[in-house]
Amino acid sequence: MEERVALRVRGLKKSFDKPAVTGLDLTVRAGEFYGLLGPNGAGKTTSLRMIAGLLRPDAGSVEIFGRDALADPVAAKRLISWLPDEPMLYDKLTPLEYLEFVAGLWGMAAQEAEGRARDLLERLELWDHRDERCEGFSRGMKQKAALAGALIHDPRLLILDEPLTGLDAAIARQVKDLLLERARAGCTIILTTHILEVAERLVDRIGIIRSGALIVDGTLDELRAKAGGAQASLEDVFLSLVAAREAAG
Amino acid sequence: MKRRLVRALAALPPGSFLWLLQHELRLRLRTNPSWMNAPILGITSALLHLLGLMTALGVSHLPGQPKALTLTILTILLLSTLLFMLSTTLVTATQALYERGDMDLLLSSPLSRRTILWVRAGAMAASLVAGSGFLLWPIANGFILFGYAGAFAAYLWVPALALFATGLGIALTLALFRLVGPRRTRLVAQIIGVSTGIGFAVVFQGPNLLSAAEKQALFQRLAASARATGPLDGLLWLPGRAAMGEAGPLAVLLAAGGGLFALVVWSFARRFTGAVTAAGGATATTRRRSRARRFRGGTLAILRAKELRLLARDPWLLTQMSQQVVAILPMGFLLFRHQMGFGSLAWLILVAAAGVISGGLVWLAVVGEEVPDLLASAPLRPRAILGAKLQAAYLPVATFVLPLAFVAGTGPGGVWLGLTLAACSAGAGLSVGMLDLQYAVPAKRGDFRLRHRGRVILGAAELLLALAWVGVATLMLAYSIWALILGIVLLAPVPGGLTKFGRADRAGGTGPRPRLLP
Repeated sequence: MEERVALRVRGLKKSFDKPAVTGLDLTVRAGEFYGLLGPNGAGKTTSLRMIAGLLRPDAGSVEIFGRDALADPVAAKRLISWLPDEPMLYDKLTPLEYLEFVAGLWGMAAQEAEGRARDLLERLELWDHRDERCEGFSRGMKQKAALAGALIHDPRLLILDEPLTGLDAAIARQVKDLLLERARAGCTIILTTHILEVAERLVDRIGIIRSGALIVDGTLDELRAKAGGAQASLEDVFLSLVAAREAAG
Repeated sequence: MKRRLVRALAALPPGSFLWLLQHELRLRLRTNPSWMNAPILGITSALLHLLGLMTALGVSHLPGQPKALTLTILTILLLSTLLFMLSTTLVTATQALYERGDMDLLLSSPLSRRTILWVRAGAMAASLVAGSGFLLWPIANGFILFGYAGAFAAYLWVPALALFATGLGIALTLALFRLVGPRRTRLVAQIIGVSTGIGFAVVFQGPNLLSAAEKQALFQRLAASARATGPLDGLLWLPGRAAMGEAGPLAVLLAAGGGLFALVVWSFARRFTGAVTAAGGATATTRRRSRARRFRGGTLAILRAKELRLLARDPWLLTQMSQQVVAILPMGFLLFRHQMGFGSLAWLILVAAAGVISGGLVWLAVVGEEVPDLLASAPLRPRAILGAKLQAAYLPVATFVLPLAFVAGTGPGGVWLGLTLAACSAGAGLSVGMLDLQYAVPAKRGDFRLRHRGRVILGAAELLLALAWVGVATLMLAYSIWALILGIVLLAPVPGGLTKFGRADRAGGTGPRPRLLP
């Protein structure tokens, strides 16, 4: 039963100088492609960083495939991958060395890691650059190398924070195709994006977060129904729901 | 007054030379380290004035020095100041090329390239004048108070040298750009800059390494060779004569400085801004290949290998570390030269080097981690990551210390010297490394040179600990029990470091930038 829920977050809170996340409740089912949307400063990145184990929450619980991520972070991290908008790369390493390093962090066997690295680099058209240091790469190439790193250990839950920021159309298409492929293969994906067209095209279910709490959650059709516009675009639905919440105070 | 100045600056016509210069200087002032505030600057300046007065007092009691010797000393002073300024300019000129900052904004504006270079070069020269003047003018003031009117010349020759060094530095950087290409210019220029800086340190510290008799003999030899070069009003002695306040040579020095500066800015404006563009392109398209090999297994081995690989691929960091080691050598000689012979002392400098390098490597591996989020999101206990990083930091130190300790142990110094070197190097490495582990502030790897910014005490403590371990080694060689006592005292940072290490697993994420340390 628990295995059918990839992520369960209850009452998650975090304050810095002021409250950033104010009691987030979120459930993502296994195999689901989930989009977390919200205005700037809504608490999306802070929430994802707490889920990925990068930030300790002030209160609340995080369960990843039934494992308590706060009590046993190592077990939870084994199942997830985190990809922020700024590629987490070492400039002085080559993509192949980077993938060897990431695979090592997740304890993969060398032979398996080598095979997967080759597959991913070929798939992302980086194979010809495998022995070049990342310092000379364009932003798109860096983001692709970082994505390969996020996928090399075959995570069950992939957490992506604005993964398409600054990518050109061709690279963005490659990344989107790869993500859809992983979702079809059963990987659970949570993604934040400001490009609503991407969310509209890719995700199964959408959550809208504002002031650190989830204000609405559902499929695009369910959100349209809540916003009262059957044919409305996600942009209209998003703006209408956020405005309604603001009006309600 | 301040309000009137602000109003006057605001009234400068936008886009003019002065308008841009005040913008540039404001930015430079705001990027100064936090310790550079008025009270600390005031106290330092007062201390420097005291030093100046004491030096002038000492000189006034000396019997009249021959002009040849005075000229020689002043010429050496001017040339080493020029070396120091040149080393600084080489580094800042390459920074202007590569760490682009606002260069793209300026170059995309309708301002002329010449105005941009005038301002940038002018700000470089102004920084040199401020830095060197802060150190040299209080000494000059001391001499002025004792009636040496010629010392007033320092207020002219320092700016003249700054202009000369800026012009020469920019021209050299552009020549390097042409000779070795945009990709290698930064590294080559920085290495030349650092080596020149080391040359300056050696020239300045050199006399301190000599005994009074040796110093006297050296000065006599200098005076004799000065007389042997011919008449003292020749071109060779022009800088020295300018420093003594002779109007003609001073005017020549000012004209040479100003002339070279103007010539370089006037002729190379297009080339410099072109180099900025080319440097940006080179950074974006650099393709450095590394040898492909089979993947390896073992998480901790891979972590260690990554650290060592990153270090080996950054010669600039290695250069900066060697600079630190070279900088402490004269101090070590100065402190311990009376306790032992030159041979043993040369070996013991290894101890200080082990301490300084360990501190640098621990900082790089642990504090300067480039991608902390990646490590924090990996399914590993922070303590395991930290352990692997510390191993990676100490491995290179052990690699150079142990063979040298072995060589020392098999030489005339005997086994005890070898053991002393190994034990005290390990102690120095642990003390300095654990101090860094506890108090260093996370920063970017590229900021290695500035890692003690705002934490001057930490930087000084590192240096003192490393030198104190040379003291322990000296006592050990004398079979003194005090070696053991002092060694235990100097290991004080170790328990704190180990506690941090032990707590690492409980740290979790601690803020927007996760740390490996609690």
